Amino acid sequence: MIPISDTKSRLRRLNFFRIGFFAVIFILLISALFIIKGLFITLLLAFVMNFVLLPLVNQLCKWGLSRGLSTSLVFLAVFISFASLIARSWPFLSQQFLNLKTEFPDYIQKLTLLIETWQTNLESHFFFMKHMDLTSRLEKFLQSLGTTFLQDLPSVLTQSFTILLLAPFFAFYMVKSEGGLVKYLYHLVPNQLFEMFLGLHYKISHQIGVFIRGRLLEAIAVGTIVGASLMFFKFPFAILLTVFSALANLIPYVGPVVASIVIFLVALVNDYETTQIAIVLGLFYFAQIIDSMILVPIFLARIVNLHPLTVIVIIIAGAQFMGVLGMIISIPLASALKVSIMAVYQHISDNI
Amino acid sequence: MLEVFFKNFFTAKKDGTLKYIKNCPLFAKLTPKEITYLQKIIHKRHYTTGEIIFKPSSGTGMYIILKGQVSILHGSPESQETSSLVSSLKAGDFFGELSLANNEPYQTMFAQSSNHSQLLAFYRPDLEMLLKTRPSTGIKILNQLCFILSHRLKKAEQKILQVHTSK
Repeated sequence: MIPISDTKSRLRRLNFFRIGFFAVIFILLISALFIIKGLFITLLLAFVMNFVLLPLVNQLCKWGLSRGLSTSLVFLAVFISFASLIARSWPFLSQQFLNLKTEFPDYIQKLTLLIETWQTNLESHFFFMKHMDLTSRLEKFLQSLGTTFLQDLPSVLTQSFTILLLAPFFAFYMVKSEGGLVKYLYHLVPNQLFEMFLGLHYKISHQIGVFIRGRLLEAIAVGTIVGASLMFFKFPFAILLTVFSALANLIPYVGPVVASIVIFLVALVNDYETTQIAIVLGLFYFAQIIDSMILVPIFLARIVNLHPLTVIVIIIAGAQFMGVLGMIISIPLASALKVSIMAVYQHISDNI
Repeated sequence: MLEVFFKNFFTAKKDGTLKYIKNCPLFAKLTPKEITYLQKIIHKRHYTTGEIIFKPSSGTGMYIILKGQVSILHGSPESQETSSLVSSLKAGDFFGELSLANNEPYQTMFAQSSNHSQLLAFYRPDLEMLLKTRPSTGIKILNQLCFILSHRLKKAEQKILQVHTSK
């Protein structure tokens, strides 16, 4: 039996060193993510791919295949499906992009005319609106938005191409090594914190995995319903609007509203009938109802369980720091933080 | 280059732990392939002299001693003068397997490293993950755990019977 007082100071020094080293490595990794251009997005995408494909690889492992073979088979299948999907949809997509580029000034002009009519109507009812000059303000805003978007598009696409090439590589090794980087960090965790760290790692990984898969399933469900209705009414830019609606759905509360406004404006500018607009928007909100009444309770409610007001505050904070990407990733980050704080609190209260 | 990088950082190395895992009764029924996989997920931990490995009513893992010695003590780590030594374990021995079977921290004793020791640790979250991803391997471990526990129960019953008959 060794008196605990003899070893306490030595252990304290060792643990202090380990925690310090862990913190330095952690800060360096986080700094590298933001300093090296594109690394954060690449790793984020790899992280998402890891959580989406992990259940498939685990299933193949359950059937007796080795980890390496299971990972290779799943990635190969995903690559083939993705490549064939791109090959099939590329002519439509590129055509829609080109159309958007040529028709964008017309859209702004039509939209300005529409808003001018609304403003005249509103001014007849509310005289104070005469001084607001909504039309020219909105026109300037839309023109600058359009110019920025169309100018930035080539560089965004080039960067996306690099990210799309690198992210699967990272994801492959993440899936194959089953969270290898975190396991490497295990060595730096002091012994008395190790069990808590391990429990937290498994719990957070599980929660984030369920969350990411749930959100993607939501986006696919909403995208399918919206896409089907847009194509049925032969909407212009149907594919682009479908992809936009599905992606916007990843931003809780705010995203669906923005997507519905965009669809509404496109319909108005193209002189669609009121009933057609009503049906498309009705189907859009039907998809939202299915999402919030069936998919969210099944997949997400137990995981995130954040108050709607908290969600909005988090989204605003995310937008302030990282724009649209911040709006998408702030909720999973906040839920991971919540899970971590709850687990640490549980650990502390259990040990008092 | 990426392969070399990830091999160095992320994959398990052949470091002689395999024979200790093979010899542990808890993993006796596993195939060589399953043992190799277990080697990847099991954790190698270093403890200094006098360091507490787990306290009473805490701990969620079992340990295999690779190097050094570990004392299992009854009492409290804070008042060690009143604690009594239950057993002293050496390289190749294992302890703490009861906590794998229970959802709540179960240990009634505490473990302390007698000198600089190196242990292989296998925790309940690892077993739970194994049951999800490789159920057949997880079930084999659980079966062995049941076997070990029933064997101990039998021994305990025999001791109780002995005490009872000697009265």
